[in-house]
Amino acid sequence: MNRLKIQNLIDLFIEASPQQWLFRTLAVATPLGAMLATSAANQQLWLVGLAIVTGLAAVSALVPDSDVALIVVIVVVWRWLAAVDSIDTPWLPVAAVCLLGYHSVTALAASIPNGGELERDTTIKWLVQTALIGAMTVGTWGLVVMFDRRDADGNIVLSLLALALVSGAALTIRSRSLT
Amino acid sequence: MTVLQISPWRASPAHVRATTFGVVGLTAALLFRAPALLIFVMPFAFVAVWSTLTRPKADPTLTGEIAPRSVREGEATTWTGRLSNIAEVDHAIALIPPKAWLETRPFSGVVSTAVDANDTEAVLSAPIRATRWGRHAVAPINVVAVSSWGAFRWQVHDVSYRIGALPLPEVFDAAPSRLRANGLIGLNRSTRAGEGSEFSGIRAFQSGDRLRRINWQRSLRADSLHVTATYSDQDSHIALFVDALADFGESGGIDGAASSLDTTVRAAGAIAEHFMLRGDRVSMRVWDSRFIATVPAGSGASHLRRILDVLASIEPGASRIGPGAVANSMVPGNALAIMLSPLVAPIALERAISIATTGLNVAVVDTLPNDLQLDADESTDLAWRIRLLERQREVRAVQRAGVPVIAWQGPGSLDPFLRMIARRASAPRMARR
Repeated sequence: MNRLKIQNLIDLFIEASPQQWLFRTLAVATPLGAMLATSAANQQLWLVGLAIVTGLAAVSALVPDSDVALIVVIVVVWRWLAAVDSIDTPWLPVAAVCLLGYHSVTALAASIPNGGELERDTTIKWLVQTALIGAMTVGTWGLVVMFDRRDADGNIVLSLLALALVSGAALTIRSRSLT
Repeated sequence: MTVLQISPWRASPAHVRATTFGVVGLTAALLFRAPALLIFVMPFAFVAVWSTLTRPKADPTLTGEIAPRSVREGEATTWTGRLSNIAEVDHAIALIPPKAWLETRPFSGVVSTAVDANDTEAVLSAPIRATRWGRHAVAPINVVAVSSWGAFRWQVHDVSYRIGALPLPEVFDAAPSRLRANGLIGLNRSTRAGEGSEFSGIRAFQSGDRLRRINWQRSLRADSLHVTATYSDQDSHIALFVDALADFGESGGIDGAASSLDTTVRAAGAIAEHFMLRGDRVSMRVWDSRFIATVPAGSGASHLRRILDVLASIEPGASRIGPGAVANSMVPGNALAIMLSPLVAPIALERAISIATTGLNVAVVDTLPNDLQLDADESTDLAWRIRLLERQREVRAVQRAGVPVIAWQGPGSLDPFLRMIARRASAPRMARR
């Protein structure tokens, strides 16, 4: 790291507004919360994983407009899938909502320069939006648990329909995002 | 104002993250029958769909302005940006990059505004304070509109702003003095009788005298009409010479230490303002590093503004004009010449001597800061010391030639010089018979 990069990093710390510090703290705390939820569901504390996620989350908090946040999400989800089999544990929606909060706070932090502060109305609007999606996530978890407890057989037609729906949605999103 | 479009609506890394993780995760959850993955993926998929459905369809329109464009140093102006056509915009942000001698509030230069669904216009505004005189170019103002979930961003640069910061004249006052009056109107008493306010005497009425001048008490006693005679009020011509060839010392702006050029410019403004308020005419000649600016003699508020405008256009830098160009500058007849200079370059002193030899009253105001920090380098420091010793010798030589060199100290700085002129004016003179 050359001297200019170190200076830029120091400037990032010095010039950050109190609101940005709050966003950065949340950006580190939320994936850490998801990892702790995984540990709570698994009853095992993976310290190396915690350290890795904390480091990556810290980098993404400093540079929120980067792809590091996607890596953080993938690492946390991979850890859950590798360590926890149960889906009816309440720690699952907790971890998912933590990741949603992480995405939300990183996106918000990336939308404003380092020293700036967003208006209170904007942060409240984002808080409400995040809470709404969080509630939908918990609802989805409830539905999944309900279907899981019914122990129904897989339906190839429904699965194909769902895949087609996802593919259509993906194509729509892609076309509307790029044009 | 010129708006430079930098980018239309573009997907942000946050949207790429939500879309990628949402789509890939959902597909994997369905293919591998992983309900836990579905729970993790769903919020990202919801966000991706929400962001896509609320993607703004048209580019906003920015109308920006800075008003007022001209302020006194230390005063603030306001940049206002109005964004219209803002359907589906979540919030808007403006960043005014830091620039020397321009302060923004908030200090970061970032202002933001929330946009509601019913809003037709988003207004961003930020005060900008000029902390030093001069013409300051505002760096391109970066305006960004952000859609829901920060998924799409639209960006423009608002450019081509200049703020003119007029120098704030220092507090200056001079004791009432008798200057050589040669104009038609003004506050200075003429040696001739005429229309004015200062009592001269009582004399017999003459044809053309105004009736309100009749002194009735004297007229009754003398049994003939007498009038109160007055001295006519006339103005003087003050010729200012401003040496702006170089700037010495660190400038801290209006709130900090003053460099030599700060003192020169503010002192010139103060002297001009003082004499113009008295009704005198003031002309000015600036020896700048780029040009020689001349303001002809005049009086009144608009003329003062013109003088301050020319002072604000000075840019300190290395000299590119030779001594000849300075020496060729015209000196108005019968003017009181005041030269403001740090006296480091000998040009100003040479010019002062040449003006004095024409018989005009001339004073040199020394504007070099007292607490000038010498260079840390030993050789440069030694060179500076030698130059300052030479400067002392040159100043003494000028003083011996009858030109007073006065250190600028604000109010009353010119009083000894003005008193000296008054004494000279009232002293008996040799006349040919």
